Amino acid sequence: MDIIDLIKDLINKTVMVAWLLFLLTWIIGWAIKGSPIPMGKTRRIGQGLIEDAIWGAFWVAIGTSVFWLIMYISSFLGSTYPQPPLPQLP
Amino acid sequence: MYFLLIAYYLSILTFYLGVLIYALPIPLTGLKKWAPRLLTDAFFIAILTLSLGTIINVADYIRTLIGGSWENFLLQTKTTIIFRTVIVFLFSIIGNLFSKFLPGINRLITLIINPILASLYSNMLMYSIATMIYKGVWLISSLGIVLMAIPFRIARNAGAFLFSFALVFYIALPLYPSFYRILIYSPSTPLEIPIIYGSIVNEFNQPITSGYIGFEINTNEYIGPLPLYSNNYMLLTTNTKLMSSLVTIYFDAAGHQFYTNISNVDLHNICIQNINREAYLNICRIDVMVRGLIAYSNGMALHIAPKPNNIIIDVFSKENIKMYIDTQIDTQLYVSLTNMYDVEEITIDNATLDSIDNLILYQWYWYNLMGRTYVIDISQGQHVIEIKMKYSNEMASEPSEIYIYNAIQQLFPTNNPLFTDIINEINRIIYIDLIASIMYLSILISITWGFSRLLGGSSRIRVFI
Repeated sequence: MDIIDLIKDLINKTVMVAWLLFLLTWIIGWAIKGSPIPMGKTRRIGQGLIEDAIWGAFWVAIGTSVFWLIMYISSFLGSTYPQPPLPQLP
Repeated sequence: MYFLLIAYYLSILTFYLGVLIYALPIPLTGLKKWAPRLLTDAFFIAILTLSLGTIINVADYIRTLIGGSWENFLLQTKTTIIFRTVIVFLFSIIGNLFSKFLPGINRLITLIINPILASLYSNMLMYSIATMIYKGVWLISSLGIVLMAIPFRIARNAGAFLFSFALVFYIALPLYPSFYRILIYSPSTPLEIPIIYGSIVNEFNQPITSGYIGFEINTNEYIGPLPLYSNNYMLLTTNTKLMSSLVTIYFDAAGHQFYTNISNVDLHNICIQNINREAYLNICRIDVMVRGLIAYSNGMALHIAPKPNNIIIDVFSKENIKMYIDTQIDTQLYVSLTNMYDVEEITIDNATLDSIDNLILYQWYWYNLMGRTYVIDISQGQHVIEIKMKYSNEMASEPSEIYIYNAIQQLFPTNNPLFTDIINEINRIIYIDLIASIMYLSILISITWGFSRLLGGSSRIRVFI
């Protein structure tokens, strides 16, 4: 198996797992936050989990766009950069 | 390209791994800290991967701004290596020649040759690193980026080192000649020691592998015989007359002095065009073509006039000579032999010539040897000529070494104070060769190390992100 295919496969699996984990964490986060335990610390943990999960979902959602942007900018830079001057022989 | 593709996909993988860690329902700060780190790493590597072309262009640009040129650098290193090799060759020849007369000289020569060899190694080191970087800058830098792109910063430092190694050496290695020029600077005026060498061929462009050459200076002073070394002559001279007067080079063999294409020529003018100033020794190549002579070996010379179309020598040994001649005009083949040889039989196209003694044209002295020249008339057309000989081992075939030693003494007097100056100058250059290359490489390595710390280190100051 080609190493690039291997990496692509890993990426696909990671994305899938990331989505599932997002749902899971979101649910667990709300569950902890909404649980009838009267302790501020527990609620804060729940809140943190929800926030992290939403950040993760956000990055997954825009990940492709970010990489496209990087590619676009670097190709733009690469093509506008002037060719180096020819060396002058002494 | 393949490595860059791998690096790009690895950076995407790193990104999604970061996302995955964000989404993990495990509220541990140590673990969660990895998430933003992996994200920024991924962006960093992606930018690096996609702009590698631009980065190398910028490196090219900076290098030309500073004044380095890969082509010049490689060419110069190559010529330096060739010249050092020539010097080693030359010194071993001198050692061989002088050892017959001055028993201690070989030790001195070995003392000189060893540092030259060491400098040859250091130049070879520079050259091999240079070709590796020049041909492999893309490969090495993309390999470095791949190593950097492996998730969780496993090989980040190694990758950063490789990447900065490629980049730093690509920019700075061609600047080595400027660095060398600073070190080689000497307050005294450079020595004018001409080393003259070149190949020797006959008029049919066939190499002449043995024999002697002589120099005539201003038509009144003659320095010779100087032996050839397998198709090359070579001489190191402190005799200033040789470079400042009109010189004729003769091929000195078997009682004859054959003219060459160097006749009444100011060698200085030829050398000025050929001298490589960067080598700091005036090594000058003058190729010589001998007129009339076909071949020489062990006191036997074959020469011919006028010049036929083509000659192929099949056998040229002490007992047998066989050759093919292709001529459109009537010509005469001359066979000059020292008295060591007795001709038994001469055949042209399988027809034996009778009364061989009548073919003797004249007799001659050649230093301490006596000899004679036979002439064979050749009509136009293609012919096979065979000569059978006997030889006696008691008689010498080459001139006595005393004459050679005298010639070398005239060319290069060892009691001349310049001799020690030359040795000193050569030693100085050689040691600077050694020191300069090692010093420069270590400077570049330290720059590389610093740069790799900047790119891949976990110190607080990191570039970009």
